[in-house]
Amino acid sequence: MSKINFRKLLPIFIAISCVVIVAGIVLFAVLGFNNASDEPVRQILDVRYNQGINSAADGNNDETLQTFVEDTLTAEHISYEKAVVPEFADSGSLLTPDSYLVARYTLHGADEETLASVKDKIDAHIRENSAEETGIYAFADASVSYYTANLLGFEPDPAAWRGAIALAVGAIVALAYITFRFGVGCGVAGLVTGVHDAFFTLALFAICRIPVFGFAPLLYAAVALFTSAVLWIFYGHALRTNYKEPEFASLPAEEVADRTRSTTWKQTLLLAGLIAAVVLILGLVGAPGTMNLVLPALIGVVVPVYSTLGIGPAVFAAIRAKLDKRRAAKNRVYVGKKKKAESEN
Amino acid sequence: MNKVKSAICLTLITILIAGVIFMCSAMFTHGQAGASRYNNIVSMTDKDAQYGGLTFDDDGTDFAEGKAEDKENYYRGGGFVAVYYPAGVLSESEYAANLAAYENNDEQREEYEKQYGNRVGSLYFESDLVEKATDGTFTPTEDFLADFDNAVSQLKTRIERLEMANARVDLINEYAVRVYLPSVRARQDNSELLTVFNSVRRIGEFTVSAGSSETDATPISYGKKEVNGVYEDETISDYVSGVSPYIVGSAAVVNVDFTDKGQQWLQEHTAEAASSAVTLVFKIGEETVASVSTSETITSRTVQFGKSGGSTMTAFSPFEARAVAASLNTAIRNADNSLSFTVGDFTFEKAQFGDLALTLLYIAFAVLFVGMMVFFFVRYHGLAIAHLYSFLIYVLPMIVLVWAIPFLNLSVWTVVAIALGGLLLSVCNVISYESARKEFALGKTIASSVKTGYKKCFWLIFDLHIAVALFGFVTYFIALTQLSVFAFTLGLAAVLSGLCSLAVNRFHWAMLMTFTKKPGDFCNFKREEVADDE
Repeated sequence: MSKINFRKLLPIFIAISCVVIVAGIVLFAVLGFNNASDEPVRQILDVRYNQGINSAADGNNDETLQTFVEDTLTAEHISYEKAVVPEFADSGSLLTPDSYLVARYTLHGADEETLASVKDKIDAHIRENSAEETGIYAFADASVSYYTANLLGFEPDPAAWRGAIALAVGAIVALAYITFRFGVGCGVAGLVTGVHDAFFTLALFAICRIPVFGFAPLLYAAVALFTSAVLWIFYGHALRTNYKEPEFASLPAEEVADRTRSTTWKQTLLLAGLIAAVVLILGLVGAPGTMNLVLPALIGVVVPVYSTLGIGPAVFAAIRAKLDKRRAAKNRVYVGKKKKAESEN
Repeated sequence: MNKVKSAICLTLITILIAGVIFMCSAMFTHGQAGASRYNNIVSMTDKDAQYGGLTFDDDGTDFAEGKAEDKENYYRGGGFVAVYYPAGVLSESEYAANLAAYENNDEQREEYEKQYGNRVGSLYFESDLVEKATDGTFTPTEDFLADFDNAVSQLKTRIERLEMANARVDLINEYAVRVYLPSVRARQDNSELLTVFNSVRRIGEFTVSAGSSETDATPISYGKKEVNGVYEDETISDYVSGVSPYIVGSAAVVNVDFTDKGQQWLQEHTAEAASSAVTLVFKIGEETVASVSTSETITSRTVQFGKSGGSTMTAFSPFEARAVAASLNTAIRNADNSLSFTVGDFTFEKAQFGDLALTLLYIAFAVLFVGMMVFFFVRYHGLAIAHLYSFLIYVLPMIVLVWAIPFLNLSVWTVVAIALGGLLLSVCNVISYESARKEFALGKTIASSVKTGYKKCFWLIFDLHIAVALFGFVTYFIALTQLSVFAFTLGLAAVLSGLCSLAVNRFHWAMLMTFTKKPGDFCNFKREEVADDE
């Protein structure tokens, strides 16, 4: 890592970041994030029956009906997720279900025509088996219906824009503290890396069309800002320790930034690796939905590594160099031509 | 600290920790014939409805089998779905059921078919709401479409203003609306949700009436107002400026704020209230939202009301008050809509991430904990016990706080925040241990190494925690829903982690050192080997 010349790579880093962030903003403006995890269009098949269904024959007629529905769907190559849920009387409470149950099938890959044919088949099956005394559904009130549910997004979503403002203000306050503790150069560079990380992370989601839940991108940006702040504090602390050493005091800012990076890069990678491990384990061990929700946060952990090692130190060096120059100019005292000549002699 | 004092102190802390672990995790029945149940803190903590818990009753039957929910039941996650149909629009099953009721009366059946048998997609429309095309198909009238779009927009705004994570509004079969609201809280009934479902569906003009009783109340009679030299009809917005929830702890009421003109009307109509009580009635369309009786002249601009329950009025929950206020507020601005929604059916919806999601989350956290402890025991031997104590003193209060703070709930993001706080604590403990290890290697005593080690890394640990806590708390104050919960938990985790890292860990380290004669071996610290020149 210490052999890589980051200063020479800075224009490349800046170019990559600009391209990714601008492309991300454009794609977000045009397409938004890929909210596929929210399932914006759902096809649902409801098979509704009352508890009288099990009064006839061997008593497991609800299972027979469900098996028929599932066989029909499988025969039509429609995949599904099933949940048997209770129904409630609209005038009652949501504590005591009424006597109806709904076998709800959330479908994938069904067209309108196929669905209509599936419904007809199930209707026919129910009719055929509803004959008085002999039919297994003789005492049941069973029906089937299907519908397509189109998600109505909240626009503008108050949680989204307030969340974005919240993250920005949170980051600024945290970095104001870093400025107070480590100086202007470190604070501003930290702010640049933090903002960069949040935008870069969100841009990657927009560009790569990674499926996310509607509310999740801001949480990923929050993870990016957290990681960015932690990594930058470690870097800033090492920087301050180095500046206290006499050998560093006379070096140009770029040199100090580079040397600090070469001593902290392992620490940066280790810290980011630990944060990634936490996210990875919570995602992998969790339920499938949790996996879809948590694993994309890894992007918010990886991006700050790139900025802490690449962009941040270079930005710090540039700011610090200017500040040093200004400080030097301020401290310069006019001594007059005669005295200057004397001192030179 | 000497050995005896350390032993007493450590014993007391261990007992305390064991007690809190018991409170957090134990669950059992007690009392006569097991009539009472002790519920642990984790089970009582509010949970994100996306994460299912155990769904089985004591007798092994599933809630989904139509069994009434036992209040002692375990948390199950999920939420409730209501399907709203515009008045005059029927679902296929409802139409079929109504038609079946006229099975033995052909005349009535024919009449019903004529009135409601106008099929649009899979829905049946009342004849007034559709136009017949030349090919015999039906399409909704333009008036209906305009009213429906406006009503859907109002409904969406109301759900949005609940600021409820995971709430969802879907358009189904083009002309019906499906609303999903997650369970409000674990282990309690969802009567709140029923109020919300019934409140948000009311569409129509918002009216305020006053009279001797609810039935005799007469609404505000609107006059004319001059706007830019043109006379226009007054509306309710000239009398009522807005409606807002007024929340105090877990109770809430709804505030109706009147304008100057509204306040004047209010004062006039309640002037005789001292001699004969006056009832104020707030309605949306034809449905009464609240009626308030007063025996005093109202001189203020604000009228408050709670939940009507028979002859008494009780406080709303904050959630209910937000829903009622949002419904009235949107109705103020949409006076011209005559469409109303009826509830087709309510169904339970299972937790999105499955019934085992919470259990798997706990397992994931346990895996992280075991991984962390293995590392500490391998690297620092006995010193890992100090870290274990500081970690438990961090994580147990976190669990208790997530339970005790009303707006926090147990979700994957809360667990991520707690885990990140735990990671911060572990990293800071590693930094302090490594710092002391370096000092010890130079030949210092363990006490001096700890002191100097902590001195060297104090500001790094302090800065890390302060920056993370600031980020978390500031973000929480502005953000909504999941992000605010994550941010607040992160802030809280940073504060506790900081305390545990800088104080608790050091205190336990000092206590543990009194039990060993070879502190270097105990901590797996080694002296630097100095080359012997001779």
